[in-house]
Amino acid sequence: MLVIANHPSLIDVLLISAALPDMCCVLKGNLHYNPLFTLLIRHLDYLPNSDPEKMLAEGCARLQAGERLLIFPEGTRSKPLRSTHLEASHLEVSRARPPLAFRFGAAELARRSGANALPVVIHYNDEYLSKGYPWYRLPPNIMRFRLEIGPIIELPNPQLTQTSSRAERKASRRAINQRWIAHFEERLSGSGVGN
Amino acid sequence: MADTLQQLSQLLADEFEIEPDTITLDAHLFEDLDIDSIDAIDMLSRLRELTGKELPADELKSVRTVGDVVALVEAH
Repeated sequence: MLVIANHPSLIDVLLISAALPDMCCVLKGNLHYNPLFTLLIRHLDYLPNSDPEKMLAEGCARLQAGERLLIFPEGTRSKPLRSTHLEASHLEVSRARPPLAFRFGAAELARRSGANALPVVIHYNDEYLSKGYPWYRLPPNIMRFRLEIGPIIELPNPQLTQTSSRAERKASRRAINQRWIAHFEERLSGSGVGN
Repeated sequence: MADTLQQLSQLLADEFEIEPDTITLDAHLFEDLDIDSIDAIDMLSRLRELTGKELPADELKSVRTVGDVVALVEAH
């Protein structure tokens, strides 16, 4: 099973692992050389994304062996919320969320392995721990996360997973991404973090 | 240089169904030739087979145009 999630914060892997234990995770390659994480990541047997061919081959093998594999299709943290303020009062009037940009690696994993996807939509009320926000600056608000897990999204064209034509494979990747993005955009434009 | 370009053009035309006329050194892989990142990985692995050269996948990150691919192959 392929687990896919949006990636608003630095602690998303922790949140998702808490909800879905026994999971392998595709991680940014250079984290494997970070002295803080290297032993932990090796112990957890997480998969680096530094060599794309290897990531695809090994990820596909793990999925076909029935492992749960988490990947963030954006390939990096989501673009943070953009706050707009009323000029005179500095009151926050709205927080615009830039549209999600999914890359093709995760969709290609789904296409090759034939795995359906379990979506984890992370609703988050803040920009703390988001891309570009210094982690050492205290969060301005109480951080609230809500994880919305499932329902499973099936492959749009399962018969296309085995095809050999490049054009069909490309179309298949695009169709998978479109279906995933539609799910995330719909859920994220909804209710927010709740209480 | 010319040999590499010819080899690459042949590969793109035969296996990636790209119009030979559109393949120039300045052509942008993603925008002009509709090659996505997964195709690019595929292309690199075919180039390894064709040239017998070690072409590291992480060098693809800086590749934008056909000319960049030619330069990558020539540099090894």
